[in-house]
Amino acid sequence: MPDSELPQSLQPDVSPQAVTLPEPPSAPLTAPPWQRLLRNPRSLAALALIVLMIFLALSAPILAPYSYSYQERGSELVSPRAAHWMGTDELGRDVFSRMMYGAQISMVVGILATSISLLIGVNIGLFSGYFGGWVDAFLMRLTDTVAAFPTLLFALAIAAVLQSDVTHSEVYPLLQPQVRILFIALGVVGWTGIARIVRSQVLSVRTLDYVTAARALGAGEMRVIFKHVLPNCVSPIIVVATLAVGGNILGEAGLSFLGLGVQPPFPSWGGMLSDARSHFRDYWWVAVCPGMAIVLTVLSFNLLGDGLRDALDPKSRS
Amino acid sequence: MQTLPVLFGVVLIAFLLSQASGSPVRGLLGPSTNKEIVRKVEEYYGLHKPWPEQFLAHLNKLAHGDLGVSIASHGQPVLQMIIDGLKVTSKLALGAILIATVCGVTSGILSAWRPYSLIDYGSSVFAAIGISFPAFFLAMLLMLVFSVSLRWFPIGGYQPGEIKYLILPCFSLGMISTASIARLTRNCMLDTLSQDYVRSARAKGLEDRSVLLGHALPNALVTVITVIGNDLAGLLVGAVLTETVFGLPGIGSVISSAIFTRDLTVVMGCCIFFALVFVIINLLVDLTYAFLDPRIRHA
Repeated sequence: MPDSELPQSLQPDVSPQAVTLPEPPSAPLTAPPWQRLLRNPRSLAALALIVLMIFLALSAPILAPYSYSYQERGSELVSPRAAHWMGTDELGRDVFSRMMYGAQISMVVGILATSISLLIGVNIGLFSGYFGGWVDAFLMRLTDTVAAFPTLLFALAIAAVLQSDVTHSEVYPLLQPQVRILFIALGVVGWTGIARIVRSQVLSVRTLDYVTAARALGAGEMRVIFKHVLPNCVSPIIVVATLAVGGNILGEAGLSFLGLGVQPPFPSWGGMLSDARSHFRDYWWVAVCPGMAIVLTVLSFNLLGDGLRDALDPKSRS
Repeated sequence: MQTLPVLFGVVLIAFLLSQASGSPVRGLLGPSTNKEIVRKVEEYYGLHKPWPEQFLAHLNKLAHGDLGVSIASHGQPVLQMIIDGLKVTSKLALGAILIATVCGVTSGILSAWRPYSLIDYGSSVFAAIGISFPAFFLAMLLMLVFSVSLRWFPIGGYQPGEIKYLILPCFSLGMISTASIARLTRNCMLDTLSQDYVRSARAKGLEDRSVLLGHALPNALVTVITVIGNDLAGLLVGAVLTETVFGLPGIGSVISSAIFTRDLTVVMGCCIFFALVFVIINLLVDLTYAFLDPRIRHA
């Protein structure tokens, strides 16, 4: 029996929502969502860290102590010190500066890949849930098919296919075709969870009186879907999108680690970890610094996603 | 019944993707290769035929267990490469899922036994951090601590039959799933523990251990099994990155070298193979529901 046919009570919760830090309620249920979010210390810390990472990414060209490609002769693999807060790599490049530039790739790919997933997933979920019947059957089989592919391997295959036409270019790294390929590949494989969540939300919303009333007043199907049904599905979409950004940052790191990321010398966190493979046994900082940047950023998005869920739907708290 | 359209869709999408990438022969031989040579090689591999014809031939081959041949590896069958790689990867994935299940379910039971306690909080923090860790970074950290500093395990490599080469890779791969299994077990157990029949069991004087392990756990397992099934399929792929770090000769190294040589037949073959494994594991998980839960069996 497939999951979708199981009774509601037995349907498995395989979403990241299952990973929730337990905490007794601290904000009143009647408070507005943003107030509940800001009263949650974990969400606040996560939000602060995300803002800091975005600031570091944006300000890298101005505030980074060194250029991402600047090689200091005689300073190869020096440990963290005042001149190099996070040490240098095997070519004498400043790890901290490279991490700031690497944040650009992670943030851009994480956010744009999630946008693509949202665009596909929300539309498929809306149409599937609203129209039902053969439209639902077809779109859900399509969703099952894409979900059957292991995410990373499918993204890797798409990236490998798209890269077969790519030639090295000298444009600014963020505009490199490799970056575009990364977020497209991650975006087109990551929408299935979003589609399922939106569909289940639409199934409960479409039978409500105000939707029937809108139809009775003569509103067209598209108007009902986008003006009446969609706004009532926004809360779970915001939550799942926030969690998806973290997942896409992990995906980008994985693809870059395998060599399908932005071209050197421009850094990405996954690429820096990949470069560190031959040196990290003796020089830990070349791997630990970019690795911890990935962990902290993904953790922040996950905690913010959890916090948003609690804030937008206080009844769902465990 | 829904499995067949999904399987067909998987094959179709993988085929369209490989077609969209253009001729693999031209990519492998380089742009300056004589056109006549490229044409002959394409004819040899049947790549000159129209797409629908190629797709039917592809389906026919798949039905006979033929995933194509690797052009970069001088015509070696992709299925054979996958089977060779699986000898290592399957051990790694099974070891990882065993560690994840034992640690995750135990930690989940302990958390549900004393919710909001120090154990529960520690387990939650571990889970939150665990799902944020890239498996390959965890692999590097474990290697730094246990291989480089403590010298308990070898630094990468593989010797058939020597389990010490697989312990660290299994842990680094399994720890990520441990986090999600632990939290899911906790949530399902807490959900089950609030049911009426559990209260009745307690009212009849059953001990905590009997209530937890005899009543709550079997019901919570129905959901947990789904995640374990999904994770097993995910771990087979996650192994790609872990194997790269530890230098294990599994499917990861097959895929890595295929990407490096742009051998898309191998990448697509692996993609189809893993998707089929995923579908089969899901089918087995669905069948396990019926075994674990009589309500589903008699529905």
